[in-house]
Amino acid sequence: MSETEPRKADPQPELDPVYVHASREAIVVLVAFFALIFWSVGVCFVTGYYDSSEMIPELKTVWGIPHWVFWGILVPWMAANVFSLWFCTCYMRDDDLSDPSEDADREPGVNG
Amino acid sequence: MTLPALTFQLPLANAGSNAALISFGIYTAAVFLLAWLSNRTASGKSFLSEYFLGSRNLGVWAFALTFAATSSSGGSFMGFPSKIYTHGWSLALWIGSYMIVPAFVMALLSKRINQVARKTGAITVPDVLHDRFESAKFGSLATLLIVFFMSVNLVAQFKAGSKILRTLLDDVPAFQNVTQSVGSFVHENSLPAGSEGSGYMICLLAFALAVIVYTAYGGFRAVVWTDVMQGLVMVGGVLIMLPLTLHMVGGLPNATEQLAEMTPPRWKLAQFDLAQPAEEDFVVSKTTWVEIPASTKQQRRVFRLAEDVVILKDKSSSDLVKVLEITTPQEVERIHPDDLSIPYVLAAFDIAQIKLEEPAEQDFGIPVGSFIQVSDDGGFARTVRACRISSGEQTAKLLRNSSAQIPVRVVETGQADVEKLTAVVTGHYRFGDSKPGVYVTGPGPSPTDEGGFLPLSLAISFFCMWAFAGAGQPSSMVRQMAFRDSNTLRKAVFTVSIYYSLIYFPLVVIFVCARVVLPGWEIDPDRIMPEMAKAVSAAIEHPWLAGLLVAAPFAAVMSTVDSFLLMISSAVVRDVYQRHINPQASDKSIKRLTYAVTVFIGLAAVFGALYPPAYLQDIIVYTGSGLAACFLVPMSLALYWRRFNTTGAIASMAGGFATHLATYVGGLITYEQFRPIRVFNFDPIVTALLPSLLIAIVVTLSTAPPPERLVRKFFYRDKS
Repeated sequence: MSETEPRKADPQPELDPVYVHASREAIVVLVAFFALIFWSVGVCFVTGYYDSSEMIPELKTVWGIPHWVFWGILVPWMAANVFSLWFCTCYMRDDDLSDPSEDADREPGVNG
Repeated sequence: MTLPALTFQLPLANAGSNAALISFGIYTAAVFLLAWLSNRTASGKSFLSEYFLGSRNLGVWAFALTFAATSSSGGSFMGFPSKIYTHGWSLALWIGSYMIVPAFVMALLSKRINQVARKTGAITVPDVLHDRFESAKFGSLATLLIVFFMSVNLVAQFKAGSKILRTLLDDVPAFQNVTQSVGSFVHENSLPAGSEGSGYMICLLAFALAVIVYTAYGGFRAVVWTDVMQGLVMVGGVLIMLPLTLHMVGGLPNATEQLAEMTPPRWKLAQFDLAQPAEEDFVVSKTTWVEIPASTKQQRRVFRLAEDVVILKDKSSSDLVKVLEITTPQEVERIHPDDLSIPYVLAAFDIAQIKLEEPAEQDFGIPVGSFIQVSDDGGFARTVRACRISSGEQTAKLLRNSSAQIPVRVVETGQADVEKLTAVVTGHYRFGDSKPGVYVTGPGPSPTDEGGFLPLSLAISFFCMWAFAGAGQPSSMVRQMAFRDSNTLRKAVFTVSIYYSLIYFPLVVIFVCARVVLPGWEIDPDRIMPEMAKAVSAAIEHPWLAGLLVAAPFAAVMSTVDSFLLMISSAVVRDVYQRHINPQASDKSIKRLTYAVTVFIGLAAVFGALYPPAYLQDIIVYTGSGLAACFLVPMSLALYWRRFNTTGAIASMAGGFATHLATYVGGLITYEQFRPIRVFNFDPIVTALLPSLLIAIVVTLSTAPPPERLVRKFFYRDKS
């Protein structure tokens, strides 16, 4: 039998739970990343950008921070920290990564 | 609020230099102590796993801080502050991606890479790739790329470390004496002195000695422990500087208000004339403030010297030197010129680059007083120096110093007396010149780009770049192989999120304020962090604090250098020697070789840094993005895509490398500078990751699937 074909006698193998959980977690983080890039760059561009021919209007600030930086960077930054807290405490699974191999210092090339 | 005059700060800082040096010395001693302790801890453990991976047993603080500290390089505390200083608040968006970088980088790969490394006993990143695909070729390719990129980066980091140390020591009399003695000794004995002078060389050797010794002696655990301390020093430095800076500028609202009135400075060429010939060689050093006093025709003008001025004995005029003119009236009022002890008259000229539409058929000269057309605005300028254009060339060369830039005086009327001869005035910012408000809005002022510092496409590109580049760094991947368990990972993700929040946004605040406190540092913007540390310490009359504050960027460089040193060493010892040359090598011989290789690589980097590359930040960006372009896609797919095979992985890595390199080679050809071509204004990493991903998918799907045995091993539950 070819090495690439599953053996028919084998029962349906079960996916490694670490792989399954890590995949889900990676997807959630990717979604958060794209949401934040949309928010951050979008707000900054719409409210804080002026091209060379435009007159820059009088500056609006919040706590001394230009308002476009406040709403486009600082607020989403705080939101990202809240997301990280939720992600780490509520969503990320506490998986068993198994013990280190006994042969950690083994001769290379003999594993597998 | 009115800010104080500027010249009062430096004498105080000078007075405290010895105290600063002592506090800095204490920091270095602590690093050595940690290395010694970690070496003792390592006794009795398996050498390779302990030396290169800390026995895979990092707890939350160790993992979080070593991860964060390694990511923060010389660029974070030297290049980043200099960019904030030069371009203002737009840097908040430039670095904004760090709000999600910890979660993105650590949650994307950590769990899986840690699991796979444990499953196979892998110690290095090439180990993981080799074992995942059981391919020696792929492992070797990964090793080669790591050694190449990290060696180049190491040289740039050594340069950064040396520059920081020099800034700290420059005012210490003992250091000045040693520098003079070493300079004479090197000169008399015809020894290699490097391109940066003896002061730089001494600092380079001191920095190298410290970092090579503790890294070679203590291995990964020493690197991690020192990273923890360095991570705390970094965040501590920033958190101390923040309130001091805000106090100094009278609060952030006041600083931003002043920033909103600022206009970018202008580069000029200037000539000094003395009232009578100099009795001896007369030198005015770089950074000195000089002025053209107010007259009936013009207001007072102030300039900062960007290079030393030398007037030789019996001469009364200097050659032309580059100076920076401050253009904001409020700043001009506040700056007091330094006392040169001899009366002088200053003449300042615009800088123009004369260009022909076609190469000259024969040499010709342009006499003094010629009118040339300024292509920017259709106005005219008048040359104040004769210059010559040689046959076959399109740009002018000054007769006296071979510079391609020619001093001119821009005039309102005139006529072009040489047909097809135009000039570009190069000393003005291409975006933001004479425009108040440009430092507090996007895209930020830029001396080189007409679209501004951070146009929309570049903002998106950088947002992606920091996240992708962070995830694709082998030095981060190694740390992700070393944490104890997934509970440690969960806590570390949040810890690093808070850590970055405390570092990056406050840095933006500190260095937009630095623009207000310390004008004119565009002449050497990489020095703004240490200069700001000196200024805030002097302002509260505790100059010793500068030593601790300067330790922050120094710690950032050290924590990167030690990691890279170990990565290269592990690649050579584990992936080359043990895997390909002597798989049966004894533990003792591996140990000796490891020490020797770490020291050798460190010394080789020192030699490279003696003649350092000019563009520190550019090189760090090149190597960082290059590594990510090579490793991110193959590693991610290796961990998550069951169908991914060896051919696809090799093709993906090679494709990422080639595309990334092509953007830089294209830039060298197009701009004649070390800068990449940005396709649709996107960073090379974004340009390179896409082909890397497409190649991986196409090649994998068009070749045979991987062996079922490997798929089962890495993606299915192990029933044993």
